[in-house]
Amino acid sequence: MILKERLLGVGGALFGALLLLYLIPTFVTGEVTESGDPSFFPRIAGWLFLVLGGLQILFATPSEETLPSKQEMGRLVLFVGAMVLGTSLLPIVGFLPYSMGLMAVIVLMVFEKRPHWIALTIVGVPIGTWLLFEQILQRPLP
Amino acid sequence: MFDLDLIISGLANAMTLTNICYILAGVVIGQIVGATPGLSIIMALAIAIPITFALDPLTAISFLISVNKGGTVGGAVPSILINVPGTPESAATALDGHPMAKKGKPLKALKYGLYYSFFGDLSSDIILILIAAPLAVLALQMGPVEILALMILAFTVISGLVGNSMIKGLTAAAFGFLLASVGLDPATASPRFTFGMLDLYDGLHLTALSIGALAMSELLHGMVNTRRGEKSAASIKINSKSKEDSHVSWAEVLANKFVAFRALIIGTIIGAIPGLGSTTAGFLSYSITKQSAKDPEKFGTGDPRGIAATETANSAVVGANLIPLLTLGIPGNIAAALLVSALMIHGIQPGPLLFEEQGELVYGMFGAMLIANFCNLGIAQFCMRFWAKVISAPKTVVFAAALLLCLTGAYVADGGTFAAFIAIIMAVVGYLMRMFGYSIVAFIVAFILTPQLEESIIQARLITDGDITMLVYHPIAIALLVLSVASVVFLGPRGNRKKKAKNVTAGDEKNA
Repeated sequence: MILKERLLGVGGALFGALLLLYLIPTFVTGEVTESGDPSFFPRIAGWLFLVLGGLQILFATPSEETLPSKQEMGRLVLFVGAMVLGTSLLPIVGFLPYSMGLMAVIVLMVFEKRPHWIALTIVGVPIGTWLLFEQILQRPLP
Repeated sequence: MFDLDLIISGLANAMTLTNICYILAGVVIGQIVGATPGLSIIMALAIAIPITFALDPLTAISFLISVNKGGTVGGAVPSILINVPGTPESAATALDGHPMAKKGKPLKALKYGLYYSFFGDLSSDIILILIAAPLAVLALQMGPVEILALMILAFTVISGLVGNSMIKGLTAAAFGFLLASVGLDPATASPRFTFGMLDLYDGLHLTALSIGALAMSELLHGMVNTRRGEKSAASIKINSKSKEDSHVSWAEVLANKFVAFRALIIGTIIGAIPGLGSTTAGFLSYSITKQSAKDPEKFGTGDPRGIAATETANSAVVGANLIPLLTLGIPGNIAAALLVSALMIHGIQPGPLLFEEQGELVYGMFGAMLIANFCNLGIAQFCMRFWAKVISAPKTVVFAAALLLCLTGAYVADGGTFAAFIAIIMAVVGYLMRMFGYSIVAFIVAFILTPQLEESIIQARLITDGDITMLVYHPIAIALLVLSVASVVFLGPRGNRKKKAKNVTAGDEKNA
């Protein structure tokens, strides 16, 4: 897996170059004054990415981490998609429908089949969370 | 700094009814989370931070410290009963705890673990209380140049000690610097990487970021890797009938007093070094105890010395890891980093000045730590049998509930759906960082320390007029920079080889 490590180094160095050549000049736009240069610290980060990426390419050693399978990546995309979709709908539908829907999707995706556990997760957990934040901690939820 | 009235008033503040109730709640939550395989103390701390917003600073910190302490005790339960560590630091406890449980003495093994954990935790707290204030006085002698050099040392040490590669550790730290620079520049108030979004003008919120990177990334990993038809591990039932098999006498505890004292020293030293954590302490202490024993062949068969060595050492880390935080303002591990974020949310900047500016709070926190130890002991004594049932809770339900708490916590903590989206993005970033072996510890510590680091750089440049030769007037800074270079040399390429041989710090990366 040394190739993966070198590719990570290439990615890091390219990101550093992107920061220094495009992102910092474009998105850090303040003037340099006596009190400081707003781009000074981001540039340190950019140079670190560039130099460390180069070092990673040169001194990469085989790593123990294994890349996930396509199936695992697919599941990751599904979980993240469910969370993004649910969170987008949160202000519209309100907390309880949002959380019950999200719990139902997650319970399905983690292959839970026992009815009492499904009921607890879809109904009990959202109501418990709502009680904790809205009633006990007095933090308003939509 | 050593005002007795202040100390007494601080300790008294810790003993209010509200505080004690939150300490009890924190210990119970910590023990439950620790006993639940798949959940970690860090996850519990990240989720608990939004809960503390409405509390006063001392109650909030007491609650979080209690969650941390409870988790250390709870983590031993699944280690002993199902040979699956509830938390990474209790992995070494399984080496002798589980064989003892299999011999029909599960309650005895749990009680051994509890008593030595209590001893390690309480003793390291006392050490912290005794040495933190004098060390903070020394730390106050340092100026911006020395502080800058100290931070460089902290980053090289942390990057070298956690994860498998120093280069990756430093890259993770660079990513932390970058994300922390989002928002208005502190010196000129110019926007940096805000992309025209008003929500980003205040920067990325620490709570949403830590909930996403620390808790949700781990939950995502667990959920993605859940297999169809996966069942909870079979637990050893606690049904010892004889007193001999369920009771631990004073004589039995004291029989391992030298082992426990050595483990306390190991745990305290490891805890005080930024970047190392309870897992290293537990395994190192176990290994030294076994090597120095006359009968090493007994280890791994249910020997109480094995439990004493691991539980004392891993619990001693909990107090000791606050030493660099309170004396230098540098969080040594993620639990300490999360405490920093909780302090900062309440407008308190950790570091040596804390003793001068918030002395009452610091001594209140010390008082709360001592109370939490006794609550930990008392609650575990009564609830050990119940926690043994908690370990069979299905991961599917646990993951889903924890995920909802995370999203809701981020939502209420940092202003709505934007913060929830930040948490989701950081969960994916954290997941990818874990997958490619980049240290989340280095990333979070860098994110938290960046404002202070940036300030130190500006001040150091003004003091030295940008002339590096002016460093000769700062011998402490030179010594710290030399140590940084030495740590790069010794923990970089050489450290990598050693780590690959031992592969001990992997667990620390999870919980450090």
